Amino acid sequence: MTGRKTLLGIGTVVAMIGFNTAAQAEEILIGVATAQTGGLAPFDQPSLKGFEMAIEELNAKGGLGGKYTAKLLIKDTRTDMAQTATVAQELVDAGVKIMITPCDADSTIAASQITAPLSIPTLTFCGTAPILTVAVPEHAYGTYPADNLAATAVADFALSEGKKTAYLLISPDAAYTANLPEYFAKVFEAKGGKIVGRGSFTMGQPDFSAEVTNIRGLAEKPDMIMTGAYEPDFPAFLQQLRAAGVDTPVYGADALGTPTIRDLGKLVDGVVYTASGYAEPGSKLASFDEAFTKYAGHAPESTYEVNGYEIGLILDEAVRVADSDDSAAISAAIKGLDHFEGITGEITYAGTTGMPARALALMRYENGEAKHIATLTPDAADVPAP
Amino acid sequence: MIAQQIINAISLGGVYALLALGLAIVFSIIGLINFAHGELMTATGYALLGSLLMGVPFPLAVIVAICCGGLAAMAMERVAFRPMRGASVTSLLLTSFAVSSLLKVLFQNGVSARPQTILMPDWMTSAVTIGDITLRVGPAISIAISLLALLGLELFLRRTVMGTAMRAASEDFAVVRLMGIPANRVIATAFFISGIFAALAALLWIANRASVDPLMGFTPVLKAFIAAVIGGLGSLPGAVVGGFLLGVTEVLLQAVLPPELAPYRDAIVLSAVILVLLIRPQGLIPARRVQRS
Amino acid sequence: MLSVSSLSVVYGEVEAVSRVDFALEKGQVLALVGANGAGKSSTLGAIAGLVRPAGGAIRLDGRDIAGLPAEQIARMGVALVPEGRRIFQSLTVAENLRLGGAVHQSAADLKERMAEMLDLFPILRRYFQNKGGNLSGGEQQMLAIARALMSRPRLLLLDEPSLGLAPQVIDAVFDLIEQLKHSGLTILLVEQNVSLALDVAEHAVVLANGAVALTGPAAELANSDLVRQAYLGG
Repeated sequence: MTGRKTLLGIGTVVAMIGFNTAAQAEEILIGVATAQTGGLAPFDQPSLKGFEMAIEELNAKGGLGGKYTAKLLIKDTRTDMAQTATVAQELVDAGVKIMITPCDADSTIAASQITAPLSIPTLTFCGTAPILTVAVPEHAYGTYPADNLAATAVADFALSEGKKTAYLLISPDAAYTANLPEYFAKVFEAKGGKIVGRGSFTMGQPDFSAEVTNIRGLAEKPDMIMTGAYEPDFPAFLQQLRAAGVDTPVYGADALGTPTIRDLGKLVDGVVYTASGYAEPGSKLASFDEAFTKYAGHAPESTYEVNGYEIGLILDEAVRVADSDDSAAISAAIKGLDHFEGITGEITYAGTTGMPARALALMRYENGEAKHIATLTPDAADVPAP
Repeated sequence: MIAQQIINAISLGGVYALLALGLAIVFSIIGLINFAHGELMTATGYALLGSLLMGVPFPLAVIVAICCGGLAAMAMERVAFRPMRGASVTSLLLTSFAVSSLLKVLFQNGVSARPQTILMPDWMTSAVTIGDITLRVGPAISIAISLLALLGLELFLRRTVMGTAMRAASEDFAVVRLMGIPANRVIATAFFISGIFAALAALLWIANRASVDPLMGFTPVLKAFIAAVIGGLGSLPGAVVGGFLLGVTEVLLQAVLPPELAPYRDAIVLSAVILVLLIRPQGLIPARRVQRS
Repeated sequence: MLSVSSLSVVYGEVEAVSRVDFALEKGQVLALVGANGAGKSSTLGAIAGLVRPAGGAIRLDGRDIAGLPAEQIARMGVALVPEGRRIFQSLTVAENLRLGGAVHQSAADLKERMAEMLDLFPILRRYFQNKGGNLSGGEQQMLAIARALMSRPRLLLLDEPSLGLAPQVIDAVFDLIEQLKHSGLTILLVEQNVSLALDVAEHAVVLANGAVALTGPAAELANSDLVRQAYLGG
């Protein structure tokens, strides 16, 4: 609470100074059409918290680009695609200049059908499917490392560890769970690895015993299992896999960096995943974590908070560059960001289709703790096409 | 491997049977398809989580959780469904949808949108090796608990006055009341049993999934509904048969389907359900209902 | 014992029973007769608590029971044998009787009453473990009456006991009613077969269009022109 008071204090001071210099602060409306309930809520809620923190801080400093006080219009999409489109339309009607959408490519694409024709820059909280910017070539942006990028990093790392064979656990139900393992497979095979089998699951499926029994019965034992499964499916799969006595290491990507997975304790020992950053002591991320803890009253659960915060910074920079509150100008400015210094590292949109080029941290759970094992910037030539 | 797949199949079938029975008991008596049945599972999960966090020993926490399931079901009846007594099947169904959505949001905002980890004791997730085959303890326990629960219910329905009254009420509730048996008590008992069964299913479910989340009740209640429909809505033996049939079909399809076809598993299962209903529109073991006044 | 005053029953817009009055003394058999839809069954339903009266009073030994739940009225000693028998078909004869005796406090009491019923209805002893649904119509009617008597009611309500039964079975049912009457049981009988009803009853109430058309001693009514023309075929 003290942190909040300080921020407010500074805000008041800045506002008073601002009153003298810049005649009147203008307002820019930002639509936040994200899931506060439903299956995406575990991802959207922390992202929103980080985003709100950034906006509060930026407003205290005079607003986006130091000029436009940002006002958030927040509406719950309930993890429902149709609801996302409806909410996006309502927000557009309310006059938003920028749109924030859920941690999911599919709903972001739905919202972009409304925002893109109006040149409104649309940023997904942590949607990572690279298909997003293929489906919506203009004005849609991801900020989190894209799945093909993350999969390349995981494959590079696995090969560097000497892993030669892998099993893929895939679900066709979502872009993330369907494509992540396949991107991995492309890179892994191109660099000499071998895929020894593929299993499929339905999201929300109660029972993984059949897959687990199939994995146990594989003629060629894989060195690792790659999956896009996340909670609550991932704990279920892993629980049943380990109970069946299979100790093959399981690799995934960003969706495994959550407290739920961490709390699985020794069950998740050896699980490797990616994150958009790693809070080394003394790093910018470490001080963000500290500031966030003061702001929210609890430590960040994952890197979704800092990602939300970075979206605020990206918007601030884009508005500064555009020197305008015009949607198209802001969008163009985002598209031109090159080696923008965020909290977790440098973020580049210039030369991409809208999914950023950036470094990834590779993490491994050990004794119930997330340990940083490597930071990689995959070679752009290795990254499979969406 | 085949032995393990069969055990897996029966184990999942048992969980579905417990859930379908819970739905069927309530439906047979008041004509309510309780889609909030899944939220009883979620409530049980949170009760278990809460008890464990407060340091309650595991066996006691399980008992607390089961009681919570039963009591939550009775509370649900008292608050949401009693005022709707005598309403049409559709109105009751919609009420249960409302209760279900409300509880989901309450869990998301009141507890957390994020799944909460619950780890069962090691012995429950271990495996034993008998000769050449390794059998998992979890599914075996699951089968044992399902069978014991079914046996317990059978004894209750056959041997006690309340159990007999419940069977009678599924045929003709008005006449049961004419015998001086209070309607509220019969209905409350039906909900209590359905809650206990949901709680047992929840524990088996959580043992398999290692986490509890606000939406975890949705899939199981849907499966239970399908199982109950296959068996014959409102028929208790039908619910058991439907549950086992659905679970066994799902696991065996998953085991034998080639990976390219695996995504069509649910579609195949549902097609089979439609086929069953085309041949037997009232389900495999139709419920007997003389008249409802 | 039972006094019904100004009783009205309304279904939606339709008034099925309109300001009906009658009274029944202890040990008496009263027949409620009339054409189909005259309001007989609705009157019985209101007394038993299955139908909520729209108005009026139903006094059982002076206490107004109108609008009480069926189970509570049953526990006050009123047993209804519903129209169409409505025995529990999937339950055994034994279970049907057991539920009929659900109001008994002690197991001994229940056992004693069960034995009495099996003596009164030997046929039920024979089919004791059979499903109710496997019994013939007449046997089901006997079971329905036995089930109602299991609670040792003070007042027995019989709704159309002859409906759908073969003539010799009807005779058996009415012999039984006669027997119950001699044992001193108070009976309110609803019956479409007016001559049978007036034979067994001491008093009768004739309902027409939901209202009382005639009332009086059964023997007198049987000889009245109105009843003869309307219900006894001249």
